[in-house]
Amino acid sequence: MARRLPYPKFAQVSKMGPGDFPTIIAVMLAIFSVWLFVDTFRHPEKKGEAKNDDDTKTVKNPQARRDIITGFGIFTGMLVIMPFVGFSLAASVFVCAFLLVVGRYKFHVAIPIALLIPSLLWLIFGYLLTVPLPKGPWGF
Amino acid sequence: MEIFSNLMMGFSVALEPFNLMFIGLGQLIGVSIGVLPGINASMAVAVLLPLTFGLSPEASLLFLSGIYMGAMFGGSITSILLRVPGTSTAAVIALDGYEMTRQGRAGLALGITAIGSWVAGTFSVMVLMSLGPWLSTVALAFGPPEYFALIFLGLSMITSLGSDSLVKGLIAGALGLLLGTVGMDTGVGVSRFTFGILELDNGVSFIAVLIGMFAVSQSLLNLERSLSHLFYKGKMTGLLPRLKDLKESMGSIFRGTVLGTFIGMLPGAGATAAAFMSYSIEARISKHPERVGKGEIKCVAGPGSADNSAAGGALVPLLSLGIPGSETTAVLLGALMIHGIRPGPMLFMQHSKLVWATIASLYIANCLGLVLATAGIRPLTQILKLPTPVMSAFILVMSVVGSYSLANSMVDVWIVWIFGVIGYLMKHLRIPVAPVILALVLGPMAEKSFRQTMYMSDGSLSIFATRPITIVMLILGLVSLFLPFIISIFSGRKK
Repeated sequence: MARRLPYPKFAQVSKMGPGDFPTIIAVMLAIFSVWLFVDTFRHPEKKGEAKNDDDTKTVKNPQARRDIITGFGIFTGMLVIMPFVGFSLAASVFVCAFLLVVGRYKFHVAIPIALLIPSLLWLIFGYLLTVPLPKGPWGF
Repeated sequence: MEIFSNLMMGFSVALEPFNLMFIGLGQLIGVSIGVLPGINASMAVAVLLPLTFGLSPEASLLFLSGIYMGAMFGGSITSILLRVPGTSTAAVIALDGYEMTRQGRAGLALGITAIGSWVAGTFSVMVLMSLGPWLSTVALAFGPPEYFALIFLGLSMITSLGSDSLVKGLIAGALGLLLGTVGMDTGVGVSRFTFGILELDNGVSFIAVLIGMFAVSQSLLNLERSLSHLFYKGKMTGLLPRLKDLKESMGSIFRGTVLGTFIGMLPGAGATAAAFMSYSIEARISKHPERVGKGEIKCVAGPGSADNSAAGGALVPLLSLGIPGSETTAVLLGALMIHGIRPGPMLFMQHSKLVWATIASLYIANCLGLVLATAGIRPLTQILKLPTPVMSAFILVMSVVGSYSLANSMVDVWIVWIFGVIGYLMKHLRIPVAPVILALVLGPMAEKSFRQTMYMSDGSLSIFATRPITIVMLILGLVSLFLPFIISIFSGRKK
């Protein structure tokens, strides 16, 4: 009996191509987005809820927001320069800048940590696991 | 009898000095990571996965399982001592655990959690050992329609149970499914959404997505919160509970253990849900409701056991069906695939040495965990002295090296960067990230099974309605997906 039920014809073998599955998911995503849009207007967040939420609080704190943007900017800078200057230098500069700007560390504390972290990771990945980490013109 | 001989074979592999060293190392790293707030098991396993590339599959899986089990207990240490949960699963333990610390009973709270974790861990491994081979035998009879239905059931449970908002869980799941379509289409060999980037032909690396969504986004979130410089200065005595305390907690440990194991087996529900459910049961049936929230030992013992047993339970669908039920087990699946092992029902037969060594290692890890938990608590709390900026910088650099080593390519590093931003925004928008990862892993499997099914049925969907297992799983999937929605409509009407 189940075989005689009227099933949609979209899934015929001849028509089932690489684009069908992504299309179904995209339609689902569009429906869910509209649902969320409507839901947000129908059930707006109560004031008390937002007040107790850690995430909302920290985003509103300008200092935390500045730290996030700066920290992520420095991280992005490391990824941009890494193919040109190599892993060791890019990571050392990143750790140093990150600790100085975001962590507000003094130079004499930040520099040893900036040398230690990339060296340790180079030792594990570059030397022990023989991963060919990006190298600069100076060979490391 | 066969189980016993297989287990002995597993122990003979796990107890090899090299493998034993990796179990111990994994356990130590796991407990240490669990102690640190803001670093959870899945993040640790994902970031440390590249370290295992040079190891044998056995040593690799034993190391990662050690981290997984260790992190579960580690999270409760800071929860109890400082009210700073190291992992989300330990958040509920903080309620009564910290109260016990304030009353000078920190040692007892930690001791009972350690014993509960040991009992729970051992029980869940016993369930894995007995149910796993049976489930995989059943699953051998599964064809593509059953597999599609099973994945559908898993995905629907992940999206509906893993989030407090159904629609947000669905959006996260759909996003993961969409990401899973990137790469070479296995049916006709056409590249989809690769934009000419050759590295994307094999799809978006879910390990890179996971590192981005968990490690990078969490490091950024940690910068927002000053979690460092919290130390426990009190005395630590009475780690070994008295017989009276043990008697009082035994029922809670048992209930938490059984509940956690079975919740852990359900995809998406996970250890956090198990711990919270166990707490609510203990609070409800307590003979002293006035003590709940004020240092009730049962409310520490129950959830402390439930989260550990859920971790063991989550390995059942992974090892027997090849379906990960949580983000950490998804990384373990990735670890198996990196070593050329295809998880699924054949795993117990084709790689029995590996599976039984993993099961044996979980027993060993549990015992090591008990020793670490009782002897190493004082040094473990010192880990909290690590300042947040140093920790964040280390995790960010480690994420870069780890993702680069996946394929020695900067493409994976940029995937980490992109998903770091997406994960951060999702966490702020309270959209769960776990469904993205699991849908990314399960999506290609679902598509493959669906297309195979269509070939089998000559393009007719009626095949799903003619197979009893398939129809039961599809109905269960639909129910789990829409039940919370229907309940919310009815409860809204009542109000």
